[in-house]
Amino acid sequence: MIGVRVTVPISCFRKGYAREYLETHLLPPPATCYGFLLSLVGECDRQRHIGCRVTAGLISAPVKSVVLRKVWRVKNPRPEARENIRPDYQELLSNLELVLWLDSAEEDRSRPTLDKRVCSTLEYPEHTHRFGGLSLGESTHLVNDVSVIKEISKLKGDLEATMFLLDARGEQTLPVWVDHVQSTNTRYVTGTIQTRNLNTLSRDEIPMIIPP
Amino acid sequence: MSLHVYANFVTPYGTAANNRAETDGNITTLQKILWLGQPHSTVSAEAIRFSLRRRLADLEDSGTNRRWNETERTNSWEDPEFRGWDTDSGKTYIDDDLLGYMRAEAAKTEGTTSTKVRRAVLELTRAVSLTPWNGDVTFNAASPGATPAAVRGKDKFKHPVPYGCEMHATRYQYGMSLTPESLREKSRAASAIEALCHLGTVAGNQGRFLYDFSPDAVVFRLTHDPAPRILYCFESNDHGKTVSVDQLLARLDSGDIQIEELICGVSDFESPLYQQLKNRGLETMGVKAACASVLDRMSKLIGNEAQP
Repeated sequence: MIGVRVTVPISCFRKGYAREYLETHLLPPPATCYGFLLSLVGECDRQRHIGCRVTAGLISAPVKSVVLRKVWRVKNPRPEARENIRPDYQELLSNLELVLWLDSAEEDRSRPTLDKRVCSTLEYPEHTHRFGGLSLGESTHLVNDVSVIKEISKLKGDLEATMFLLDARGEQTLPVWVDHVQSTNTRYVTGTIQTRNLNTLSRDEIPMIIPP
Repeated sequence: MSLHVYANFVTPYGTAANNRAETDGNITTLQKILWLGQPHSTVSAEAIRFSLRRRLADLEDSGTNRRWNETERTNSWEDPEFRGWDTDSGKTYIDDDLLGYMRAEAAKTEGTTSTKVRRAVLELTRAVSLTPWNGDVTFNAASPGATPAAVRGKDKFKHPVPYGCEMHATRYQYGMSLTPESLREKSRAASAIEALCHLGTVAGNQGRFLYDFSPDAVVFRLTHDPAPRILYCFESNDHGKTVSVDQLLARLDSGDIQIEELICGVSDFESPLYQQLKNRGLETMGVKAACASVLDRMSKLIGNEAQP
């Protein structure tokens, strides 16, 4: 298991069913974290690292703001038809500091696993082919820092994070796979958001990325 | 293997009244977010993208695919179907190449690629004020008849309409990320950086563009690193009068950023910022010179990487 420390100056992790008031989750769902890691290593095939486990932990307490913004919806396929545009409120999180926990033990081991690729991208970025801004949330929500925490056991004993962990009787459902077109194939897992010492984290508690 | 160009821009000091938020009675409010624990005014990335597209439409000989028609208050399109992207040799436009596009009917099934969708190669971030908003409001009166919707009755066109307007005297900073080799035409990266260095007006009172977003200072970073590490690196300790980059220097000290990756531009060689950068040994020049230097270094690096 590796930890990837990420800072995001401004972000929004829009709730899947938020339509008229664009609410945000407090932390990025596993599917968002997975997409971010794929973008980091320049991988375009979403199926490439299925079986990895990933979740986000907050190091900083998120601060929420609300802005009014232009929102697009599809009423008319003609670009910029007036009925496609409406103003709406959106929640934004500022000054986010996260650790993404990534475990690749259950991935296909015959090819380089996601944790290895993340480490090698950050160690030798000149050998990685990737494109576009690296974002967590919407595309304009650029991340500022990315670095790897390789050994969790070497972390200070008092380092705690607020993270989403699997819990069959939990109160949160977050996506581990998103169907961007019709949402029928979006796959959720159930868990709780809890503050935990990072040394006590076990693999079984971290959501696994599996398509339907 | 993938060269990224990052930048963080800071505007000159000016009075912003970007009233595209909700109104509160007869007060036109500013958009604000909590930033480092205090309310700061903000301008969306979309507003900056709009202004960039407008700038490119004026600068580019072949124009842009969409161009804002001020009279009709809508876009005029050259290729609304994005047909130029169907083939490798089709005619494409700089704004689609840099800023991406999407046709609503493009995605019918998950995972299929379409020529009707293109992700932006140039990403801009939301602009955030350098100083907290301290609550400035002006009192104004619109001319009689200027806003008839705000006055009822038969005196509708006789009396002026009083209103308050939230304002913020400050600077704004925002960031950019660009991967030149992902462009259909790589030379367009230079046009984008030049346009951003001469951006002009973005966002103002009722979108009438009163605030100059051309950089007063800029930090560029050319690197293979996927993380910019320079976003929002400007600070001010004197209410926006001058700018400093303490965070950036701390990053250099920690080894996160290499000094040779950076090119800095300032508009005033007498400023404390110039001294701070120069004392640290950073390559610092005027804003236009920094832009030219980045373009020169970028073309060399892309040229080197293109060779086997």
